[in-house]
Amino acid sequence: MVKTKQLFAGLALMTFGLGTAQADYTLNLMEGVTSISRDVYGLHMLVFWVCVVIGIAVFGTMFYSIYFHRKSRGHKASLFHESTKIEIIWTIIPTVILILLAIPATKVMLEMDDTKDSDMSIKVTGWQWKWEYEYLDSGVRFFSSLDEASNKARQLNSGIDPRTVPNYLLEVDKPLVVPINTKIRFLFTAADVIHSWWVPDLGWKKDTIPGYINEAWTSVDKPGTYRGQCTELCGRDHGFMPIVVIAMEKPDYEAWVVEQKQQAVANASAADKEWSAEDLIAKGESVYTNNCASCHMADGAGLAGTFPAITGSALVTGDMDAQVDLMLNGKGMMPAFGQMLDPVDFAAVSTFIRNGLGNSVGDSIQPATIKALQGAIPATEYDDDDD
Amino acid sequence: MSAVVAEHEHDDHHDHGPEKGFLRWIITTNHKDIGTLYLVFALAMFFVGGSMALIIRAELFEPGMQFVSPQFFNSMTTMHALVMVFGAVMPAFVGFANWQIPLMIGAPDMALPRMNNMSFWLLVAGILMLASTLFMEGGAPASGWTLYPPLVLQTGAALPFAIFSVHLLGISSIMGAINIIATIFNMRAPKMTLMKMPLFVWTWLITAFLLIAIMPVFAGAVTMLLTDRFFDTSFFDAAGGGDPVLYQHIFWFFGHPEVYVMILPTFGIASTIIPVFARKPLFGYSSMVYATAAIAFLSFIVWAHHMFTVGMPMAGELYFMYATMLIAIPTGVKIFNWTATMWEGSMTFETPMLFSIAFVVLFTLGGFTGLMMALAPVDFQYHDTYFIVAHFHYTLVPASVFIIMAGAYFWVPKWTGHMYDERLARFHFWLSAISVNILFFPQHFLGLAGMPRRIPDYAVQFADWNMVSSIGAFIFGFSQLLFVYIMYKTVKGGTGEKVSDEVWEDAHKHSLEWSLPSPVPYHTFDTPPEKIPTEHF
Amino acid sequence: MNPDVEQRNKKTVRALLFLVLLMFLFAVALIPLYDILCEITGINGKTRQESSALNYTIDTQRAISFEFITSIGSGTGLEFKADKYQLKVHPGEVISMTYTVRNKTDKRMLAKANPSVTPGPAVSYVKNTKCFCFATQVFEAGETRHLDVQLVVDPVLPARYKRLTFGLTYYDTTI
Repeated sequence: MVKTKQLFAGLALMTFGLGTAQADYTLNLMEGVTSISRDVYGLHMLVFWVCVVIGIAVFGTMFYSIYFHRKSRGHKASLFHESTKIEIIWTIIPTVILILLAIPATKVMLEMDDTKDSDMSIKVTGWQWKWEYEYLDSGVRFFSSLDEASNKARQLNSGIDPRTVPNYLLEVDKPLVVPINTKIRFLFTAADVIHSWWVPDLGWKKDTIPGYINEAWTSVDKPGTYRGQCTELCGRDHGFMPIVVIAMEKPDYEAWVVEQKQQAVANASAADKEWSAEDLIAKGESVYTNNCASCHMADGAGLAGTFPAITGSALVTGDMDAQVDLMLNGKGMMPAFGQMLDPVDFAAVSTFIRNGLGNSVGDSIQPATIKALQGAIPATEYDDDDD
Repeated sequence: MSAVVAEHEHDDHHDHGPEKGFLRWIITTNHKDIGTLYLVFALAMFFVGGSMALIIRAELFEPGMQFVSPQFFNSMTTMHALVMVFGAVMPAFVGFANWQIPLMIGAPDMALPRMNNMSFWLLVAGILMLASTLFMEGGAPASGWTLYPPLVLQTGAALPFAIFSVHLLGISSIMGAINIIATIFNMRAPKMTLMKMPLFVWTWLITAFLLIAIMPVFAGAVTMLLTDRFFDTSFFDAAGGGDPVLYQHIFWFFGHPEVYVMILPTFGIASTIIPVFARKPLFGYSSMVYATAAIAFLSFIVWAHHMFTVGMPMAGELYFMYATMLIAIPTGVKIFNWTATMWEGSMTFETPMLFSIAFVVLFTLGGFTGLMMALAPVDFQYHDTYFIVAHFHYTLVPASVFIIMAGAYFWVPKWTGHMYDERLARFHFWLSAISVNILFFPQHFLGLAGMPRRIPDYAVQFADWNMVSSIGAFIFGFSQLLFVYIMYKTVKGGTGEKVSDEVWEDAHKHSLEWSLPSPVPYHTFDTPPEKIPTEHF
Repeated sequence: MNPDVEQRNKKTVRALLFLVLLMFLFAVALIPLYDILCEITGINGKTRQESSALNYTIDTQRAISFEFITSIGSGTGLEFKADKYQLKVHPGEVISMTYTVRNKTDKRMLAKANPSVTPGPAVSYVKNTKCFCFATQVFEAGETRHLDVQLVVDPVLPARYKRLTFGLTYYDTTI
């Protein structure tokens, strides 16, 4: 008896899971953690069952006919070929079903659109291939990109088994942190091409379009980590710009904001201290892997015709100012890293590419110099009380 | 049968048979030859596009990057779609149109035979130019077949070539469509009134009008891409005050009718085959015609349901949701009519019928997911995931492609005078029907579970179903070699038994071509047929 | 072929070619049509420059939040910020905001700012009386400049809009 049970369990696993039972394994849409996502799930299940019922009726009729009305059973064809009555009936029934589906769908739609009376606003900007988050109420601002472990494993023939990487391709270096039970308004835009921001647990996705500001809102009611991905083809690394949202209790979130602000101050003072070339190079290597390697390749060889090589590049081995200017401000396909990297990371990677990847110029640049180049305009004044 | 014997007092090519040798295929203006060229070319392109699909499925077999770079992967998804849409499915239906429309309406040839030849060779030129972009600096276009700006403007040297190839393909399609409309309007046998035409002819007439309406729009949109990139305009460039979403509106104004261009002739062939094997007239002929026209009309007013997530005003979202839901009504009518055609029939299940039944069932599945996606708020979850990939592949592969194969099995005995190997053909059917579901059904699960489309690598929880899907893909892909073998053998003599003129029992009651001799002579209907079969026998 | 049929074919082809031309022109005409549609519906959230000053009666009965957000396109070496993120305003009153723009590069740059209003359907109520948007500007290497914007919200703004967001995105348009 036990053996039979085991056999069945094994077979079921073979059929549905092929052995590797993943914890977050799903066949169906997730219900999610917001009222909207549950409404969407309900609508999804409603229309699914409507389809199942129609399917049983149509296919049932068809297979009955296929079985009984076959020549090999000696069935004689009857020659009816028209019936206005029947045609009218099977036009009206679907129409009624559609109206019954349209009503709840419209309700959910209107609810999704209602971004007013939100408690906080987050601006999300899509970049090739990372997300920029800006908390419009507190001024906290950072970039979020694929974490280092996934990034290493996803290189062509990396030799790293993705199954050994925790949350492979669904992990970022800096997640978006939000408070629970708070109506959060998102403003979406993009800096280069169209992206789309999707966390299934929130129940929707929204395109981020250059020159546009799109709105959406959410209110998460359960603390947790929710993962998603970019869903609009945005170029080579479209598959490698995940989204991680961590929802916290309000006090935890507020502590996080304070921590972010302190971190910003700490980063600023780290930028002011003198760094040795060795420290910069060591730090620069991982900055390079995370930000540069996807175009210029891990070994700095670039991609012929599209992305210039770092190794032996006239720009990189030449005047430091020209190199830093290009990295800060970008040009064409080269993003402006001036906004994406803090001064220390920026100085580190600038120094690393001149003294690594087969180059050996021998000079270095200080974070303080970068900091002065990066920003001179006072920050926008934010109001903490948004009412 | 005097009508079909070539009459010698006619001028030019009508008084002799085909040219000898290779030249015949270059200069031919005979609708049957051109039909064959289209079909053979389409078959070749199925294998080209299919190979690209197998590269995609091989890379997705397991998580991690094993075979290709992400950029090349994107080129593959883009080229797979373009080749399949413009090189395989559309030309296959044009091939059937060339062969069958004159035979079905009792015309001696297409209305414009020389233009017919030219539109075929422009198609070849267009596809070759598109394929050449694979070898260009920066690689083939990798922005998806929708060619959305701003991403498409990042394409390397290939961009102008890809756009020019789209122009060529568009001109070819427009010429083909004009030819088909002129043939149907002006070349019908005297008694062949519009409402007596076989449904395949009807669906192609409507399709041809769709093509004429949309191809120039697409050409306009890609031309604007070209000027944005090279002549400093900014139609779609946010930096210059342009609007990237405008391109999407124009593209889908073309794109949505375009997908119906691939499905309406499918409906037509299914409506031709099912009655023959049910030994009944088609149920609701006129409602089928009206439903086709209704679907074609609706296809022009629902385009933005491909763009629910771009952030349209609420009124727009709701309008496009309601309009899209309406499509379910005429489509439902068609499915019910096919079912009613089978009902109380005297059915046999030769290969064309098997493929047609599989089409009705699996296309209905694709229709169900289509209805689900019509609901805008739920589409916010489905959009751009594998759920969509599963949806449109269900409406294209086990629908259009299955019906193309059904049509080939159905008419090839008539065209060649040889019977195909029924046993092998049924084996081919079952292999295809089972593997296509292994290939695409799991993609529903993947999409719902959260896997976006167009990604070269994925999180490990998607691994199992991707592997299943890839296995299905390889079985499906290699099964199609069997189709080539069966068709080759049929052309070369088939089973050896001579087929009768009507090939399928009582087929002559359904359509004109079955009263011609088998194989069909090189020239047919030099004088129009006296009698035409009616649907009401 | 029968000359009569040939004649009819020619006619059909001519009519269809005319249809092709018409559809091509339709595609080109979609550009201005879309702009008109956008102005009416606010699909893309673009505001227009008003030609003359507007005199509205200020609706002191209600206040709305008016937000200013700034973005820069990828590869544009500018630093761009608004002085304040949000203002409480009455519909009808003149809203002024100063932005600071700095050219971070060591080269002369041509740049252009494009506006976008959210929620889109409210765009027709946001009147832009003074803006540096849409015009190409020249920034010398390292130059910092303060730029003013003046906007007015039409007092007929429906009550459901309690917050409007005015976004500006700068793009480097140097060729």
